[in-house]
Amino acid sequence: MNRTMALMAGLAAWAAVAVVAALLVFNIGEKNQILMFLPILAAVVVAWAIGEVVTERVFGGHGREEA
Amino acid sequence: MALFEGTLGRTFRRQELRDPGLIRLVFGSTWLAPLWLVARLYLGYQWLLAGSHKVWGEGRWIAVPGPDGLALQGFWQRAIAIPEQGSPAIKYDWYRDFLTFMVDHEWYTWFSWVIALGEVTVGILLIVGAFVGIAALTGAFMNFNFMLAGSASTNPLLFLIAVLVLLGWKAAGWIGVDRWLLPALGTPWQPAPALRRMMKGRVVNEACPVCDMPVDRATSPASAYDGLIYLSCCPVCKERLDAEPARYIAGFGAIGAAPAGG
Repeated sequence: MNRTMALMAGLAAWAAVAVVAALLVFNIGEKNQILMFLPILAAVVVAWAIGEVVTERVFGGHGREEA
Repeated sequence: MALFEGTLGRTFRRQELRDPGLIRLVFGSTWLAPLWLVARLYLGYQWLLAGSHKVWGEGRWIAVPGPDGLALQGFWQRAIAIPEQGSPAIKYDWYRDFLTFMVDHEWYTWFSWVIALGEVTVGILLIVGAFVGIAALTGAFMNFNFMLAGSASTNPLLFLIAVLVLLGWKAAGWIGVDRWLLPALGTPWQPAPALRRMMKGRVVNEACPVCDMPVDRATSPASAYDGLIYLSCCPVCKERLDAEPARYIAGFGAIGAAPAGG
């Protein structure tokens, strides 16, 4: 259960990054590239943090899934 | 003849030429992952923006009243036109023939979907860091084709960034989905757990090929050569094994030889 929740949290975080990026591009377009870039970067950092805190902690590193 | 065979044997004997430390640091180290992230996001943003114009913009290529791809048809026709004065946009006749064939067969009706959705997909994949190498390669391929068709625009810069991201694909997705996706699916340097389970019977060694310490079939770092799995006792030994597989695997017979009882 823990592993499923952690996996879902990681997937949801990165899916949210895709949604944020798409919404920004469609709504702001190329009017202000910095304004576009920073929120996307912020969303990636949040998703990365969720991955580090939740997913990585539960799955315990790469190549050790079988352990 | 023997001299000839000896020379060829020496020249083409199996050995790995290692990259210099700086190259490995830049293209293969997670330390520079934040830098790759910025390059990846910029590239992804540019592709998503370009794709959004083609999918949803006022001058979109697809889902328009009438036949799809008329904008692409216009682009191709301008590209293949040979002006009376000056140079044509396309320098290579074979590429002009290729575009002419696609125009004549009205391929723009479905090819516009491929390009528009392809650009959006490449953009999303690069932004979330999933299959970064494949996404960068696809993006570079599209840039290459636009340039062959005589369109410079942002293509040279995007092509350059895509090639760099492609070279750094291992680290470029580290702050992204690839960090979990690649180990789950398997990589050249770490076969996937499912593949390892499938190939358990093909694990060659009980002791580390580098330092002779015992290995654990479930947890030891694995390397795959010629369809066989070699386990190392630790990441350091695995790195040495991957750098010079022929040297360390020689103890198990020639690379590619089936192990006894394997």
